[in-house]
Amino acid sequence: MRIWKTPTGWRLPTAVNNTVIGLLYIGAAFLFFVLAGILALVMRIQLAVGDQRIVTQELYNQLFTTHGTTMMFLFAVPAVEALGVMLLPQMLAARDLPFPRLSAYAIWAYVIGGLVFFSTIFYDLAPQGGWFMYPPLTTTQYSPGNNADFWLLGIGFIEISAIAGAIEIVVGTLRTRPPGMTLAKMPIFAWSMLIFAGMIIFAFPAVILATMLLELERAFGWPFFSAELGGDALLWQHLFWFFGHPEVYIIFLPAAGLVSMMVPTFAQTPLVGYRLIVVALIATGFFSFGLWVHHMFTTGIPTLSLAFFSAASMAVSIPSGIQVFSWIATIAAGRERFRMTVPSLFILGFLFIFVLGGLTGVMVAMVPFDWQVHDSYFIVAHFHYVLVGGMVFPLFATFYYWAPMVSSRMLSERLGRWTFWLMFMGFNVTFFPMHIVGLQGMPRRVWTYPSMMGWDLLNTISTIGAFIIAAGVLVFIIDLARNFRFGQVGPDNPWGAGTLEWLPNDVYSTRSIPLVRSREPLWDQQNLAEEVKNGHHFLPGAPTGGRETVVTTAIEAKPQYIIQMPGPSWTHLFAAVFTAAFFLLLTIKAVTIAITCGVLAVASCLIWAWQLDRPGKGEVDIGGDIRVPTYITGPQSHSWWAMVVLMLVMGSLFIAYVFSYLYLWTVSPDVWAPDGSPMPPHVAYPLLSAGLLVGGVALLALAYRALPDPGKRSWEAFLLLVLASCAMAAAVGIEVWGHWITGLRPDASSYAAMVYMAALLTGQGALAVIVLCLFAGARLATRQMDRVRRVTFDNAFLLYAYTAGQGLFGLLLVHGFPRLLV
Amino acid sequence: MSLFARHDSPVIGALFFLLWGPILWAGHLTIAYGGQALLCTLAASSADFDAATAIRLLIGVTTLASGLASVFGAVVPRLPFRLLLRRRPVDADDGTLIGIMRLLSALASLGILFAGVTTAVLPVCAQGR
Ligand code: HEM
Ligand SMILES: [Cu+2]
Repeated sequence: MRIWKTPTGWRLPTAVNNTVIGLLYIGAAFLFFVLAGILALVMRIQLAVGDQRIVTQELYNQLFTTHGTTMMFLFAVPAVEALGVMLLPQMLAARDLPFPRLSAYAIWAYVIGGLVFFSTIFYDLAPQGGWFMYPPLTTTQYSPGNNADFWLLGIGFIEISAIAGAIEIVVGTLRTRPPGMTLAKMPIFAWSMLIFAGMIIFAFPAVILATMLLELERAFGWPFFSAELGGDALLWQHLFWFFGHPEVYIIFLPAAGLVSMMVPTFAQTPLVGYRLIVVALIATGFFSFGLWVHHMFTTGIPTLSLAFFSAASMAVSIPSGIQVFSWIATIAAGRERFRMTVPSLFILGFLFIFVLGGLTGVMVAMVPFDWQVHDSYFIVAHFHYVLVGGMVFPLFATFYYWAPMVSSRMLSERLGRWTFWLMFMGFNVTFFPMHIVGLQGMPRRVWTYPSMMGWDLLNTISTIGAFIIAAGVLVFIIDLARNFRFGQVGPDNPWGAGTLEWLPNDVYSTRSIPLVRSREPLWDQQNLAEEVKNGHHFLPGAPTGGRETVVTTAIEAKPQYIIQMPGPSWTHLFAAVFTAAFFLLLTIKAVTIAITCGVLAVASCLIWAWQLDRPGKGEVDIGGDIRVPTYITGPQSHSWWAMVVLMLVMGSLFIAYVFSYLYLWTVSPDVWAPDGSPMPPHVAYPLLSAGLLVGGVALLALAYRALPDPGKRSWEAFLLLVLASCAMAAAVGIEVWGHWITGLRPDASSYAAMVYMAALLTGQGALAVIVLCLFAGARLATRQMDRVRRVTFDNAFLLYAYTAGQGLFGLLLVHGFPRLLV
Repeated sequence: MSLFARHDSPVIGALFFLLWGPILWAGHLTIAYGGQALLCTLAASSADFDAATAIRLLIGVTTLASGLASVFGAVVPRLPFRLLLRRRPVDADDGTLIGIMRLLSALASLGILFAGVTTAVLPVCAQGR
């Protein structure tokens, strides 16, 4: 099919199809794994024996910070998202994810931002605060220079790209499943990605807020974290670990999902306990949020809360245990003996290492024990067992298992075995001894240690192990280079698997989209491959003449409409480049060029959005006597869904803010109005502001009624849109002005900073709303928006209503809470 | 369309049904932990405020309410099902959803119970170290 052709030559970067950009994504993530691994090798050389002076203390600090940050933010999360982008559409037999350009944008933003962030290590610009960047170590007082800013802006930016990916994944798994694949028949990997995305939506905003607060403190002196003015460094820890703990499971869940896909294939039997596994995934996703305080066991939280979290830490190991038993049961129930291939070796290696890591985890969760080993090498050993075991081994299994889907040749079983054994042996040789040196008292994050402590031998062994792992990775790269060829002409289903990604595939996924009746359609529906190939199922042609796929209902998966998808483009690419440039230039305080780039980024986004929302093509036949529309608005449409997910993200960000406000109050009530600061302004100010917000929503409701018939123009609706934008801007302006004239300044105290922060968060949303409203106005003026074709209007309306709601809530908190205290 | 189920489930309802237990658990934890932190701060600033009783009361009531609701979900899932999905369960898929929901509710009940019981045994507002 020509419509799906990948652009060639210098146009290649404009590609948006998931099979193409997915490869870029996974390739970049793997590159960061190798780079961060090289840093680890440098650290291990330095630590090989005591009293070494190969790297300085400063460089060592930069090394472990960059290693940790890169592994967590640039490798683990993106690698998982990359697998989602690559595998999900194939598993769901969808032509692509619902917003191809959005994923392409997220990927480019990540590649560019990531490379720049990583390169700071070469210029002595890398931060030294450790991957969790605790203040006060990271405030300007202790970390002058740009190093910490690079971390903050770079990571903030990469998180935004992760969130874009999460939106894509939620809408993709819920709405682009093949007809008949009900929620209860969804492959486990799709479940795990759905939960993964859900966790990102609730967890990442907390750390985004944290990075915003710290950057505001560093750049403008808003005292969120410094104690003299009523801030508290613990606030960072709370926000960071609210994300940081789930982060481990965010990484682990999809990996577990992948294992749940591979085990049944090698056992040639359906997964034992499908329901149990779904339960385990959801339970882990939820319970992991209850755990955040366990990272602060030693910082003096009331004993009662400690008890909660100690219990929760243990509880979270139950679902993991359920999954392990389920896999073992599947292996035991196999129709034939479990096939020993390279992927199955990696799975067994994963089980072994992960179970050990879980055991040490339970040890760490016991409170008194934690006091002893906190910040020792025991912890380093523990989390590498969990992370490498829980994520890297399944990832390599995935590489070997799914390579035939994207490549024309399978990877080598012989070299694969070498890779496995080198990595498995090397891993245990490196990290097992660390438990012992940890118990002997060797602290983590030391750049060297005195030779007479008796730690030398074990450290030397660890270093040797690290090089064995490196050798294993090297063999894998050689294997890739020798056997990997692009293009899908390889065997269709080499492992005899039961899920849809093993149907005959091309860049656009399958020739026709199958009707699914069971969890392993390839095992249960004879001749499915033939039928699909001959176009006997849904959407064998291209009724709209462009890129398209079927959208189905979220629970029952009935075909609902055809989504018309955009093709290759430069716009999202420019948008990504300029966004990256904006953030990075801001870091080095090149404000004017940064703002220019920011404006260019917004312009690129607008041009990009301008090309979307093409008119419908009426009802079309998708096969099986089913006719569906090609354009749809309102709560059923995928764009509405994406908007709702975005609102959830903004909502979590705001809740994290409310938490921070109340938290700082509990820490230093003395700077709060009325005691330490001027009272908020007269109630007339917030009332006027609130009135404008509500009025703006009303204006948009009127604009909705005034939308013209197709092909017509309506200046009335146009005017209402402009007025609503002005109301929004005025509401934020009045709020800021009101506080300003009371003499309150944001750098005066943590209270003042929090007051202005509420306005800042609303202002951020307001800016987006105004751009969107004016954009809708422009569409209206050019006859591209009307009563029927009104996705743009719907989006503006949704965002407006949300922002107004958040603004009202903020006003209530900021003006109401101090009055409560009087 | 005989190829597909005849009913259409409301998405939000289905979501709340599936996550019945976990949502209760999250609410309980937020109220118990947040309430405790706030009440302890209030107690520190005013002398005649009896934080211990207030906290025990708060945690007792929320534990009882959310615990019962969660156990209820695990034992008679059909009621929440009809409430939230506005129909009776009919096919195997519904069975799967109900199975998932029951187990999650059971797990959540345990979590709620444990967090509640610890308050009865431990001193409130005491610092960990
Ligand atoms: C595969 C080989 C790896 C080796 C040899 C290795 C080695 C190391 C070493 C030597 C440290 C510094 C310990 C210290 O000085 O306290 C470290 C820290 C760390 N590693 Fe790894 N690592 C590896 C893989 C990974 C992976 C795959 C991840 C995550 C997905 C990871 C995440 C981290 C984190 C988060 C830290 C803590 C950084 C900090 O203290 O701020 N590592 N690793
Ligand atoms: Cu943790």
